[in-house]
Amino acid sequence: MTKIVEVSGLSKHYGKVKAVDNVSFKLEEGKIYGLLGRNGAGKTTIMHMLTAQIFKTSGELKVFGEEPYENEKVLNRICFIKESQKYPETFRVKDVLNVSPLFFPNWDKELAMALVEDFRLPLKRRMKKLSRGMLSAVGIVVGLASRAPLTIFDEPYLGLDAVARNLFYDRLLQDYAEYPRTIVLSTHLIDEVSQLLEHVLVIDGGKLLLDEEAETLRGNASNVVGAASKVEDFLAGKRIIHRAPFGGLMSATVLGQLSAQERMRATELGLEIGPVSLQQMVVHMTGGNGNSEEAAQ
Amino acid sequence: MSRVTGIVKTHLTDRLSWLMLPWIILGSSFAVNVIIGSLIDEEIKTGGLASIFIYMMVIGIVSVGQTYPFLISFGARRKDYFLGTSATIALVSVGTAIALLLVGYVERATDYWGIGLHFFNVPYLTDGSLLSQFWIFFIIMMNLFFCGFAIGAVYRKVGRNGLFGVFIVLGLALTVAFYLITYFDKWGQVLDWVVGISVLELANGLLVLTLVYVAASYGLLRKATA
Amino acid sequence: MSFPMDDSRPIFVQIAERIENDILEGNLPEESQVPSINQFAAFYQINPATALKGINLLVDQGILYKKRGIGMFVATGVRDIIVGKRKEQFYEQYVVSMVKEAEKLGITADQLTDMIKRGAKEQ
Repeated sequence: MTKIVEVSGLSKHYGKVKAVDNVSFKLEEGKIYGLLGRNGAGKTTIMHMLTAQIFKTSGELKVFGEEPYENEKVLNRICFIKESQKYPETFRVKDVLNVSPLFFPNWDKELAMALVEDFRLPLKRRMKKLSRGMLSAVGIVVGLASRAPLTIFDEPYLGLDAVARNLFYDRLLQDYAEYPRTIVLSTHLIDEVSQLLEHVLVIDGGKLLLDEEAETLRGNASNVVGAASKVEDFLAGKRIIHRAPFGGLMSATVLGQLSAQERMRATELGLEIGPVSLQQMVVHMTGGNGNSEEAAQ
Repeated sequence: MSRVTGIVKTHLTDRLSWLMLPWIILGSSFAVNVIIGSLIDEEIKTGGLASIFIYMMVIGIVSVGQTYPFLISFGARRKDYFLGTSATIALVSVGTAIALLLVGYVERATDYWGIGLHFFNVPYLTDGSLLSQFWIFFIIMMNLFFCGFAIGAVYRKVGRNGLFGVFIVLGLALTVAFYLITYFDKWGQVLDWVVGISVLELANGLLVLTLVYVAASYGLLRKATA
Repeated sequence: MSFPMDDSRPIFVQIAERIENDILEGNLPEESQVPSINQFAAFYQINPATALKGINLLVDQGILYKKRGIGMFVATGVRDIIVGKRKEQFYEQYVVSMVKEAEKLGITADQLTDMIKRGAKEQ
């Protein structure tokens, strides 16, 4: 499969601060990726480097096989919808939509207009007078109508109400089905989008924590609740990503599948095994509570 | 090429700032002068024309901050941004210069608006041939635009503190120059030289200065972040 | 609009289960056509690749088959296969743990059978 993005040992340092620390990954064609992590984890920095907005400190970065900086062939095929996109002072919604086709060769005007209607955007209103939700909606319209081979959304639904968010997911899937392309959704709100994702990248503290198929991750963690000592005993040698003590009890989240025998043993020890959602998994892994520790000896 | 036109179109979407406000500002300056001129009997030669040129510098400064982050995040190359913005500036300068010439002609034809107001005909600047008039207007406009553009670019690249730094350095350089001229008692020579500059020499000098601004802007923007 | 999927289990498995349920309940009769991948994706608001995985799982198990150029269809006689599968799952999931729990409480096998009969009557 064609590699749309190839990143190797990518780092971005601001003085002593390592915003992105030796990150390596590849993005393939035609998949929906989730770039997950907390605020300030480095997701935005990575996206800015992919789109030549800022300059890397070290490492290799190839998009569509080439360096993106000042590269028309590459930049032509990317659409990056930033979280805090700045628009010229006097620009109205219709101005943004008029200018977009000049930068996105695959622009579909009909789709744009249909989406404008869906999201009920006021064409003549100035961008600076739009609510946060409408601002996000404009970003979504541009992102989807651009039909860019690599479309990146950075926190695309800030301020959108539930109806609008659902609209986004529906239209996204619809257009993606008809015109497959590589889409990256970057967010710290994992819950709702999780179903849309095919592959998940988790960034924390500038480092890449996870790079997995979403389906492989789902069900790959369990919550174990019971008497603290018994829980520790049961989880010896396993990768625990979260511990929550509660009186004499403990709830621990562990990575990895539990076999049938292990489940039996858990029941015998009086322990309860519960499910862990993708969201909880990511939260625990990036929460700094018992992060990737081995079970206490 | 189409990307460059895209940049030009993006700038000119803001018709108010680029096409209308310069004339509104000029117009209000003109109106004030007309009122004064009609009240006074003598001929007036005013520098109100400067307002439109100063405004061009302001637009140069402001447009970088407005359009650079937007266009870079939409995937424009920095080179295209530079070329497109420069093309926009050149176009507007040409158009404005021609328009000023036309109004200047009307001014002379109406015997200075019937009240002796020399607004669009500035002695020394508009004394030469039509071509030299156009050229000087065009060059001054380009110079001020790009001066503003360079200032905007400095701000983009090194931020507010960097900009202050640049001005401080310039201020220091000027202070040193003034001091040296005073020390060596060269003021007489300097002023003679200034007074003796022909319009053509002025235009050429400004052209060189404009090119310096252009080079500086491009150099700065090449490495600026959105 | 959307059926929130259980995010703690692979979604493709849940898709397969839902299709099986539809077959069991008669909503998808044998030899009828199953919705397309994109229709599944749109309906459940999931990634099409995930929907595909779920469908393929059932194809591998012989529950669905593909008619080239037309789509996916329910195979004949699968209802029984599914019921058989579910019965075995039922045994593992409910019966085994029930027996263990009964042992803990000191309920004999006969007493357990009586309880089951009582439960069935009260339904």
